[in-house]
Amino acid sequence: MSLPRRWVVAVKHGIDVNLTRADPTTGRIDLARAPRKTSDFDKNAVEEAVRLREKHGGTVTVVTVGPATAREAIRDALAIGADEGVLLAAPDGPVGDSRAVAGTLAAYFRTPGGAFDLALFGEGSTDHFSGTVGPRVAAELGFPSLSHVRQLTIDGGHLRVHRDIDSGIEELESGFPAVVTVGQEINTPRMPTFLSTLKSSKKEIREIPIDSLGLSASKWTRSIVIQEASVPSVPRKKIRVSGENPSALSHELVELLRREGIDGK
Amino acid sequence: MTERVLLVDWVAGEASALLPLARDLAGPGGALAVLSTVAGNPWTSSSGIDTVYQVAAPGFDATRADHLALAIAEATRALPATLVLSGPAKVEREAVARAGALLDAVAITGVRAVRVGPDGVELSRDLLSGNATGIESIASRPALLSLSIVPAGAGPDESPPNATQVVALPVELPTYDLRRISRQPKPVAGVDLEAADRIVSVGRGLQKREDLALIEGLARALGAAVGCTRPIAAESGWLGDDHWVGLTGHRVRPTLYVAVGISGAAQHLVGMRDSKIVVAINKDANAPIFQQADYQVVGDLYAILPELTRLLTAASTAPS
Ligand SMILES: Cc1cc2nc3c(=O)[nH]c(=O)nc-3n(C[C@@H](O)[C@H](O)[C@H](O)COP(=O)(O)OP(=O)(O)OC[C@H]3O[C@@H](n4cnc5c(N)ncnc54)[C@H](O)[C@@H]3O)c2cc1C
Ligand SMILES: Cc1cc2nc3c(=O)[nH]c(=O)nc-3n(C[C@H](O)[C@H](O)[C@H](O)COP(=O)(O)OP(=O)(O)OC[C@H]3O[C@@H](n4cnc5c(N)ncnc54)[C@H](O)[C@@H]3O)c2cc1C
Repeated sequence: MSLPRRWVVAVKHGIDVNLTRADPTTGRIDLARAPRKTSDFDKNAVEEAVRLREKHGGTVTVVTVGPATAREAIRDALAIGADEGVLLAAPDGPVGDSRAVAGTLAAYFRTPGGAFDLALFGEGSTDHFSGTVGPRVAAELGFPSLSHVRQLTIDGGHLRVHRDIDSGIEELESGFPAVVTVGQEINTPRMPTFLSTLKSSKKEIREIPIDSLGLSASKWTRSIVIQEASVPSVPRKKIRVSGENPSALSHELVELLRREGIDGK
Repeated sequence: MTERVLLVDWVAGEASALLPLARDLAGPGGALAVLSTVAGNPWTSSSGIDTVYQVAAPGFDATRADHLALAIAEATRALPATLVLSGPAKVEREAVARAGALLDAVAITGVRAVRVGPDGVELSRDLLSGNATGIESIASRPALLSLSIVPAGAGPDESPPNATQVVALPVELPTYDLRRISRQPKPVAGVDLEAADRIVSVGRGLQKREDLALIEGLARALGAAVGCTRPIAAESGWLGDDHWVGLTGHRVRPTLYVAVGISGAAQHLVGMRDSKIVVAINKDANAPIFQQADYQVVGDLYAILPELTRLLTAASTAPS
């Protein structure tokens, strides 16, 4: 059995939730105009793939589905240390849903240039956070998916992971090809340096129009439609508890809570 | 439009909490079936259920998402189902995603509420890491949903008992190489945060594991359960997942939520937004948590908690 060398990371140019503002009068958010950035956990996935390459050799390819502006997510990944990027260029118009995105990625992975040994995904994206894209791609390709991975090692021809299940931590072993999803616990992504950013700007980004992947039109048509996104607002009293020192603050807080009907038990 | 609903019963009986919702969605002309993965299923006597699909496959392991996905796909085809409902467990979410791929159907997780509107089924879910709530419609069937909040307790059973048909469901298991080596349980405190009336929650403002005693002391004085942010459960592992509040943890709605040494990231806020009264204790006067608090205490938790705990304890034990 040959050793794994082809590391692939799916990255999403998602919505920058910290810079997104709602319309102050309606509370609505216009998703189409919201600022974008690389989805958080995807950077952990890139970091993990770069570490695997550093240890085991091979090539790290990052792939994204989106419009031309999604190249920015690829650039971020290249600056962390990925070797090459692929933009699966989506047509103008409505954004695809998770089914469409996963179907597009799977179709690309089936092409001769798209084959991988290990594909790494975020365990959920910052904006839609369905956590479904990684496992969907795995199932479409008939591969195992190992989700919520907290630690990952490769031992000969096998992948070993510790992963979070709700009630505990599971240790799994699998062969290749395989798909994993990761969260922020697995590592701390390195900060790109001036030099790595400069170097990465010379790396290649291949562009493949998604309609050249042989997908049926119905695959890209979204069937989940976000009708409305709004900021839930809960009115809060925002009373600053006064007091010069911890003791005075505590007395004041206990008094305020008592007026709310809350006592010690 | 009537729906043909399949309920995924991942752990024996767990899905009963989803029954009222499933009945609602199916309506009078629809169908209601349960996928049971555990032998000796408790569903045969339940009223209102037309069919129980009982997985019949040697080696089937319901705690494996890929196995569960294959069963969900088979049962969905057999009914055939238009809507599949499952709970929020990580295994269920992954299974629903994989089953979606097998059926080329949409799969949606983190669903807070489902209702049948004038334009068909409408969902509400958290968007933008909890910064927003979205209303989504689904334009195709079947659709597979994993709910993030399972309604507490089944409603009264008003439908007349009917003959439930039990159908053995063969599932062809995958042949690729995937094995479980071990499973280590996390510390289980048996806390039920969703049901707690008061919660004292802690974040990275706490410096060491031993200092949890301060938090537990305050919680005891208030008769509160202990909650925490993701880093405390997932990074330092000082508390188990039952304590974890937020987008990827539990959604809580107590009368009192005391946030101690918590910055107030959107992913945390989404889990505690529905609390009635929020107290925040943080040494940084600009911490975002203060914008979501009724009572803002600016100060060092190490100085404030002992005093606060003493006062609350003294008040409750003082002769009146
Ligand atoms: C303006 C706008 C409008 C939108 N409207 C809709 C809508 O109407 N209906 C709808 O369903 N969704 C909509 N979305 C969200 C849509 O793009 C989802 O992100 C998509 O469905 C992927 O699902 P997810 O975010 O749940 O991915 P998750 O499954 O949460 O993502 C997990 C991982 O999958 C990978 N991944 C996810 N997306 C991509 C990608 N595009 N390319 C490469 N890798 C990826 C990443 O590794 C990511 O960490 C909209 C988004 C925007 C920005
Ligand atoms: C996709 C995704 C999902 C996530 N899901 C969740 C989730 O479900 N739940 C969750 O909680 N987080 C979640 N997070 C993480 C979240 O973004 C924050 O990183 C996390 O909530 C921060 O935890 P914290 O407030 O404990 O720590 P920090 O942000 O580090 O805040 C510590 C706070 O303690 C204060 N402090 C320090 N010392 C003292 C002292 N002596 N006295 C008083 N105050 C002090 C500081 O001023 C600071 O405000 C998620 C992140 C992502 C990207």
